[in-house]
Amino acid sequence: MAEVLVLVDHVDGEVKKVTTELLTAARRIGEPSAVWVGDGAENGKAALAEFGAEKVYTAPAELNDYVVAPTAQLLAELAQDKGAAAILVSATAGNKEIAGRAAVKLGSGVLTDVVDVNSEVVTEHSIFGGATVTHGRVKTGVPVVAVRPNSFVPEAASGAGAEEAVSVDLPDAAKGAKVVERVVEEQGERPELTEAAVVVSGGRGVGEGKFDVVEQLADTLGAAVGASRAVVDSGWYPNQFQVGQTGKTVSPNLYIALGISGAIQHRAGMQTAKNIIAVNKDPEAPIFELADFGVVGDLHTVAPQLTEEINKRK
Amino acid sequence: MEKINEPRYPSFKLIMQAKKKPVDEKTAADVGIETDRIGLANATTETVDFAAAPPRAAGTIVKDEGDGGTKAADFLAEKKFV
Ligand SMILES: Cc1cc2nc3c(=O)[nH]c(=O)nc-3n(C[C@H](O)[C@H](O)[C@H](O)COP(=O)(O)OP(=O)(O)OC[C@H]3O[C@@H](n4cnc5c(N)ncnc54)[C@H](O)[C@@H]3O)c2cc1C
Repeated sequence: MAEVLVLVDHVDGEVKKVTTELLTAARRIGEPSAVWVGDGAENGKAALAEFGAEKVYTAPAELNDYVVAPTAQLLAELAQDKGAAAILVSATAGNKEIAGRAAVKLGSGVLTDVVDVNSEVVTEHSIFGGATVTHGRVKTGVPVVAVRPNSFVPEAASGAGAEEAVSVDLPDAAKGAKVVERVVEEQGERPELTEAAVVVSGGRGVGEGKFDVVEQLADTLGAAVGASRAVVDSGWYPNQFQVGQTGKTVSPNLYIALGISGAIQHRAGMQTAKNIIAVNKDPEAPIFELADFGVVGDLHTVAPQLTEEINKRK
Repeated sequence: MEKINEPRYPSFKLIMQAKKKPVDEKTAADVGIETDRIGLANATTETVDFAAAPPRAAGTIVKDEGDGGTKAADFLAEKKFV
């Protein structure tokens, strides 16, 4: 069976959940080989093997001294050397750029924002804010596929996890943009919005200075906090938490909307969530059209009660 | 943030002036583009099919009678989130 390269997302030696999703998807196509760029592979290797990685290619941390190009070079060369059937990356902004560059080097094509894939590497895409489903494929060369987080349920399968150090000679063109500083964004203990399995979002109905009702519910569920644009524009919550057409696109297993009307621009960023709960005092609010479960009522009584109930049942 | 995107609309006078500008037409070969790498026939990806997303099944909507949060927790339990 041909190898399928999976670019590993990791933080401090810990493998991110999305990578276990990618390894699960890769097994449909062939034999997963994880590609680890940077330090920490000795800590993360076991987790990769647990999700079926037969090989773990490790590349030196220096590749991360430059923006995206070295990793693209590495993936393209590995794909060629190993005769890979496909390259899978998570669909983050940086990885999508890596995917595009790798595809150009391979003379192949790239498929982004993929939500499903079959053994022939025909991919499913959810477009126009989830209103339309398309299938695509790469016509020539090694397909490069950028998969959205939470699209696959990770399934364990033991792999050999054999480590192999690899490297790549960087052409000057790959060193064009150097990373000069890294700053860790303060986000506390909460997961990253686009990767979170559960997102709790607040809208204008939450009211100014009352976002702790959203945060408390989020924290009992280990969820990320999101916000509508109305909230962000009013300065009640920071910009990077906006969900929607002009904010982030999220596709969690569970999305809880508190005091959000459900405008089309907001729905565009969240309607592919697998389960949606809405709390709104207006029974006519369009968010209820999407909701799997809705409560018509005041979020300031419903949300704290929900938080308390979850804590009780833990 | 929003303000950076203020479009500048051309006046009627500018539109008329633009119409008089010479248009220099070039072929792909003129500008050094390899013609065997462009166009639909040479695209590296293709869309196999497309369809409207299946509608979401209608959900359960309840009115809060003092137990809305508890009922939402029941839903979460049923879906194995708690
Ligand atoms: C080009 C463009 C791009 C946009 N991009 C985005 C985007 O990316 N993301 C986004 O979110 N919006 C976006 N918008 C804005 C969007 O159209 C809506 O204006 C916005 O989503 C509304 O936010 P909201 O639901 O929080 O507020 P509202 O529409 O004001 O809704 C507030 C809701 O809270 C309910 N409510 C009030 N009090 C309570 C209470 N105590 N308990 C329970 N419910 C209560 C009300 O019934 C109401 O339904 C965009 C708009 C445009 C034109």
